[in-house]
Amino acid sequence: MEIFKIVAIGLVGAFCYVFLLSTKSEIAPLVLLATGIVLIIEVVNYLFISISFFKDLASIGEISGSLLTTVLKIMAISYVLEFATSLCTDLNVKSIETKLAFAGKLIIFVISLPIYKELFNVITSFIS
Amino acid sequence: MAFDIDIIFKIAGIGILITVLCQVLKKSDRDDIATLVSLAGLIIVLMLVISMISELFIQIKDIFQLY
Repeated sequence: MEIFKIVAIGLVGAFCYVFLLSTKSEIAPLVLLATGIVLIIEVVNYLFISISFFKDLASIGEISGSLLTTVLKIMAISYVLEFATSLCTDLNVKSIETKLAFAGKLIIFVISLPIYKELFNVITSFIS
Repeated sequence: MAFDIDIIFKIAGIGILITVLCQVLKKSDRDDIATLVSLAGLIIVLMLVISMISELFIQIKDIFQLY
């Protein structure tokens, strides 16, 4: 099963981090970053299946393509942001983490504006 | 390129090597060279990790069909 390999990578990375911390080298947080990347790259391929599934659903429910791309874009932004903010908490750099989160929320809000317009059109079409 | 666990071992190995070298250099009271060695080690590991990050972001772009 895939999960054992992932857990093994995570644990090994964590122990390497602790070991490098003990030798007080500044390369320790980089080991954390490397294990994070290896773990995510292992798993990110599974997302492809779910996205093609969503595309089929969209084509069936004749949802307009632009909505789906915005949703996918928001998902991608949130994944990358979660990766960065969790790394910042490890380095206990609180200020950068809050700024990153704020920037991400702002970008997601700006990107999702057309969805509000679409929703508004649908509602007004019901009313009138 | 498929990352595996050997990247983590490589980085950890570089870290250990750098700390050992720094200790040796400090004991033979060449502190300036010790700082340079640790700086060089940090730069090497940073280059490696940055190439991994770019690989990750390229894969995310492909999967989410962004841009």
